[in-house]
Amino acid sequence: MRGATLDRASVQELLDEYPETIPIFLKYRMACVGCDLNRFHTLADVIAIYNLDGARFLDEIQAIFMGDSSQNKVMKEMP
Amino acid sequence: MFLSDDEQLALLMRVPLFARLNRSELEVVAAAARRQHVERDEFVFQQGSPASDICILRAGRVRVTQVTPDGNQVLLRFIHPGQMFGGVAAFGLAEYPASAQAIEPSQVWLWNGKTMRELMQRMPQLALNALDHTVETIQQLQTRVRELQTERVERRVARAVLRLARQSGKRVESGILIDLPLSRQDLAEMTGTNLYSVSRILSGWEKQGLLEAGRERVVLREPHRLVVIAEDLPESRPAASDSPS
Repeated sequence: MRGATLDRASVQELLDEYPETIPIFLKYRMACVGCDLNRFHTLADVIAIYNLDGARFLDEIQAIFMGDSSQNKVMKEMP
Repeated sequence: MFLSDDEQLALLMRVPLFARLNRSELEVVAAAARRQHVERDEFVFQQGSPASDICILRAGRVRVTQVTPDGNQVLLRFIHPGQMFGGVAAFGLAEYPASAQAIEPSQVWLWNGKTMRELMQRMPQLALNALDHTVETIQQLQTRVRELQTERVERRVARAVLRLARQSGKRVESGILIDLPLSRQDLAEMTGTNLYSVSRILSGWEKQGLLEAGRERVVLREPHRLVVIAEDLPESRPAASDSPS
């Protein structure tokens, strides 16, 4: 799920399905949690908007998935 | 830190409050001052305490800081020899709005408010100088109030546009289309403002490239910048283009 797929994930879906990732967004002082634009933005979008180190950010998100026991959760791509 | 009488008068003469006073008037002003030595880190006065004295720094360095309503300490300015601080005391404010702290051993001249008012009765020019200063301050405050009112309305409109985007937005090539027959009048009514304000705000945003506002069609080109306005976010980082990928 790493790389191309993860950074195209929808911010809204990520936050809805993996609320454990919320602390990462807060840590980087992003306004995404509860933002009206959630459903329009992918992780790649917010990495650009907030000028983040994309690889590091995605690694931290990825680490949350690794800790997730329900292997059947699959991140949907933005259409 | 020894200053001759002439050096002291030269310093005082450059203080706007003492502008256009002649030499003997300046001498009277200097003689009416109390002198205080403050050690490094010692406070000349603290925010919230009764505003009793006007101060002029004779020597050393002082910094003026303020604790804001949200609890942050901000540095307002540094005071150099010859500059005035704590001026509110002459002009009748009850409390110091900020703190003044010496950052090196310093010498301060102080006049209490009562003394200063007595001097003003003897020297009309002193009173006129104080009046000029007050007028200038009022003008700055009026400008700031107008800016704040404008910011508030702009935030309301930004919030309304974002709510509409959340509800009815569609991703398109150039950004987010608000897929509603939405007029400026509608926006004005949603935000409790008027058509003129909404038009002005939307035109401003259009010029900045935030959105395209057709007659009944709005496309958000840089929607995050609207969030920055709506939520009053700190714009600490340069924003990259944020059209949804």
